[in-house]
Amino acid sequence: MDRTRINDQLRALLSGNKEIKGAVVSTRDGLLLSNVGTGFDADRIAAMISTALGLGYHMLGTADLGELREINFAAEGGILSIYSVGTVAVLAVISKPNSNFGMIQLQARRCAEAVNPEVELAR
Amino acid sequence: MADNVYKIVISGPVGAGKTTFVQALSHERTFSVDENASEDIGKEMTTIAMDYGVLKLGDNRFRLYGTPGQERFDFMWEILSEGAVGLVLLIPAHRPDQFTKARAIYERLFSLFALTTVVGVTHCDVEKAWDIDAIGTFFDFSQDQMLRIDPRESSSCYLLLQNLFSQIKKNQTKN
Repeated sequence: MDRTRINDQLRALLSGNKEIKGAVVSTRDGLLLSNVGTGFDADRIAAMISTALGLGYHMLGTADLGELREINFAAEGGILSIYSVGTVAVLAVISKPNSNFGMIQLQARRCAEAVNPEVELAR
Repeated sequence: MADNVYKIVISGPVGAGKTTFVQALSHERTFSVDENASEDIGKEMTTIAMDYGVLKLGDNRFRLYGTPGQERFDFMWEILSEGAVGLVLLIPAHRPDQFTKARAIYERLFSLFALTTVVGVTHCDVEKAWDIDAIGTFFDFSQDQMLRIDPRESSSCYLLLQNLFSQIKKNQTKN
């Protein structure tokens, strides 16, 4: 499996916004596909974000709110946001505190769209 | 008077039958958070977050929480075990390569929560499946906390849960 093109997209995301300090892409069942940035255990994050996305889908379905757009976990040290990559993968973006979060959301969604065909190819 | 509610965790390694067990016992609507498995784990779907179901027996209500089996989801074992009073450990008799993983799950949960535990031995009808006595010796479990079960058949699952319930009651009167 060639994951360099997934990694290229993540690198572009980080270099395009200094407020983003890390990104992880995993399969829907929690296997790490690619990661950039330091300061976190990417394998653990990969498993956890697939759990969160799976629960998020069920939660929003149970609350009858429709399709999941994104999940945000906010803390003192920053925000971890989770996006669905098509129907095959999960993207997590870790950003610094007090960032321009609207911009980060926009760039992260674009990144998820750009990563989608690369994941399909890498399978 | 409100029903007595017991939180029970169903755990064990991959392919032991945890999801099937929860679904077999639940009267009310269940849900399973699972996904297609990327790796060859001997089945198509794998639990990534949890299984949930509710079983009513008389005045008692059992909330059943099934854990993922794969090790990378080990953080869910602890999250789901918070506040539980009992553990159903499922061990696939035909997968001795999974026994050390089953032991790791058991030791982790027992050291954290000291849960009253019963053991369901599954897949006993498969060729090369270990004998329940041999599994008991391997894990150092007493035979009265073990039962051969088929998670697809709710009757054997009931028996195991009833065994767990009577042990929970016994431990409650002891304390």
